[in-house]
Amino acid sequence: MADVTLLGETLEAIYRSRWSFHTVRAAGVARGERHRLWVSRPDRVRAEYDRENGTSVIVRANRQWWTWHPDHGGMHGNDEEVGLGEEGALIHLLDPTPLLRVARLEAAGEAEALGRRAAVLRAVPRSEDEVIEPGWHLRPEGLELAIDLERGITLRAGDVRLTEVAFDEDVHPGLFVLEYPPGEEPRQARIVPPRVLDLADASSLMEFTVLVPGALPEGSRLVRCTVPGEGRPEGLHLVYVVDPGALHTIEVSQGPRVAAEERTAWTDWRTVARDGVELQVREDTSETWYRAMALLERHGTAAVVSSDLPLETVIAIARSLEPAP
Amino acid sequence: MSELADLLELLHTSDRQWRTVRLAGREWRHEARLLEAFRRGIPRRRGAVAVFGHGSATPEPTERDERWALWVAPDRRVRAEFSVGHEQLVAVLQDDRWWHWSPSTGGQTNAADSGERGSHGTGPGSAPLETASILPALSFEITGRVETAGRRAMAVTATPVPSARDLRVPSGLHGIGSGADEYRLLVDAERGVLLRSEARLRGEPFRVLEVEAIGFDEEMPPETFVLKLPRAQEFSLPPEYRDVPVERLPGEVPFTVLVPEHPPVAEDPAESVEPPRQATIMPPAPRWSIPLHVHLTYQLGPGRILTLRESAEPMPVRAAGVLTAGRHAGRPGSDHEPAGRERPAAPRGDARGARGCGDVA
Repeated sequence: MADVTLLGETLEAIYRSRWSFHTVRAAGVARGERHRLWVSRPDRVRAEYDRENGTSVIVRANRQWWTWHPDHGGMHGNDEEVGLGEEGALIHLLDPTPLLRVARLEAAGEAEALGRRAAVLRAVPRSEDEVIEPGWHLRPEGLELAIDLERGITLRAGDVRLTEVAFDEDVHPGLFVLEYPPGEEPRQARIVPPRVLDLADASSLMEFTVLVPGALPEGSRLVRCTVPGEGRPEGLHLVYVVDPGALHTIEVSQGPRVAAEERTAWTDWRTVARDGVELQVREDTSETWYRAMALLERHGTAAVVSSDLPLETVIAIARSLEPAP
Repeated sequence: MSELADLLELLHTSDRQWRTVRLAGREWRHEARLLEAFRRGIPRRRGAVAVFGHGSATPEPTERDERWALWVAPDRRVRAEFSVGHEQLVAVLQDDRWWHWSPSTGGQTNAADSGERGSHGTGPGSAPLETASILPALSFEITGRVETAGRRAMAVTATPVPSARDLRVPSGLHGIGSGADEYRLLVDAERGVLLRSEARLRGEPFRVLEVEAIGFDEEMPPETFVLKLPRAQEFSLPPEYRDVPVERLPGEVPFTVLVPEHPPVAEDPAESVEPPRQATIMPPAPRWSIPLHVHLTYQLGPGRILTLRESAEPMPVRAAGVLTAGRHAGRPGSDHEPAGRERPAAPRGDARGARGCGDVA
């Protein structure tokens, strides 16, 4: 067997990077911005990023995570419900193993980086297109990397580079808990599903006149009546389907915020009049999609009717809206 | 000097170690274990199947042992011969164009419309050449040196490792068998090609790919990459499915499409209620005895759908769990009973007028 080539040695280092350290403390620059990173395997991460008006922080401990942003404040969550996703601009440097599969790696020579022995590699996508793996974006023209030959991590990848790195130091456990400034209450990242209610119960909760269609296509049935999941219910959403086959839907959203929200959500509303009743209407059309919407205010309530049925049918349904019994 | 570095470099650079390659070999599968291993990487969901009408059930063999061959040359020229279902097909590929022949489909090609008509698979012979794809997913232990198919090889035992970052199920292993506990590999010591791979589940093999003949850098006559059809046959465009608006279905298929009078809607209020605006018209697939049929899909929430599959002719019904010894069964795995973890999709066999539902949790 011949002596191991620089490429072979580098591939082995990358391969062993999964087991080559327990903790890392690193600092680096990504696209001209300064970042810091602490990792304690298998699942503790702290990433800091200096912005003009402060430092943003991301902390992960197993599936729990916390973030702080100088503009947007604090947020915390759990991957079971809402994934964190972003873990800073440096963390992918610690795991170049995805490149073994998607890139063709070629050794260009040895170098020293941060006082460490490194191999300089050229990484080119194996496919003809660009490659996007978690943290890695390889364009057809390729990317130059510096791989630490002892630990297998990436010291430099294009315009992202480490400026400092230390392995297997004791990392204070407090780094993986995010302390918020006094008085700052982080928001919880979670999905709050709407509440399903009986139409009569929902109507009794509303502080506005609830409208229901007085005329619907034959075969229509109400399949859902929902109000917002938290807080005082400020709106009501009704969904009807048209049988047989539930082949069409008719949705009615109403509440004090509907008029303002719908009018700003779309810029192509136009006013039509039918038998002296003015409504605003719009349509979305594509090869496989059609949706007509009609907005009107009646009895002090703004309501928008939305359906895949023809516009004139939607207008007729909107015109038939009347106070719920 | 490191044997591991040598192995990793061989696997990473294998596709640069030859100009042309000719391979022939076999693929052996234990169907029940293969399915069980594959399902390990898929989150479990509940589901049910009900059949109205009639179909015909064909018992599946416990094991399959099939031949394949592959020729690869510069300029993305490929010839592949392999089994699909119960027949052997031949495909020739050049760049994005392909020509294909099998007894049930006759000659087909996308040459007139390669941008829109997709790609063509090259069968099990590709996996021995796509060695870089397994690198991030496996931990390797070199166990010895052997000779196979007239080539010197490194014997390697490999075990899957989750990604260091996100603990995902390893990817890149589909070609040699997803979901294995362990892989036993023979890696060509000069060119890095996988001469043999054996995917194992609980100590027993479920998929074996074996190269029996191999030639590197041979001159390949141009006709290798020309597909000649039997006399009087011509190439046609491959049939493709079509999405059509539901209301246009009556004019598009020669049978009445039925819809449930009051179908369920998504129970989760966070999910929108989506009517099936499009139906999919699927062309007949004689290879699988599948007639022209229509798919109509209701979205019932994340990962939950109700699909109606309707046809005028009987659909084949797969009798889950009824596995019999195949013609070529016998090696290298022992002839075990199927895992039997799956309840049969009801009903089996001639399902005329049936109305039952069976969980396939």
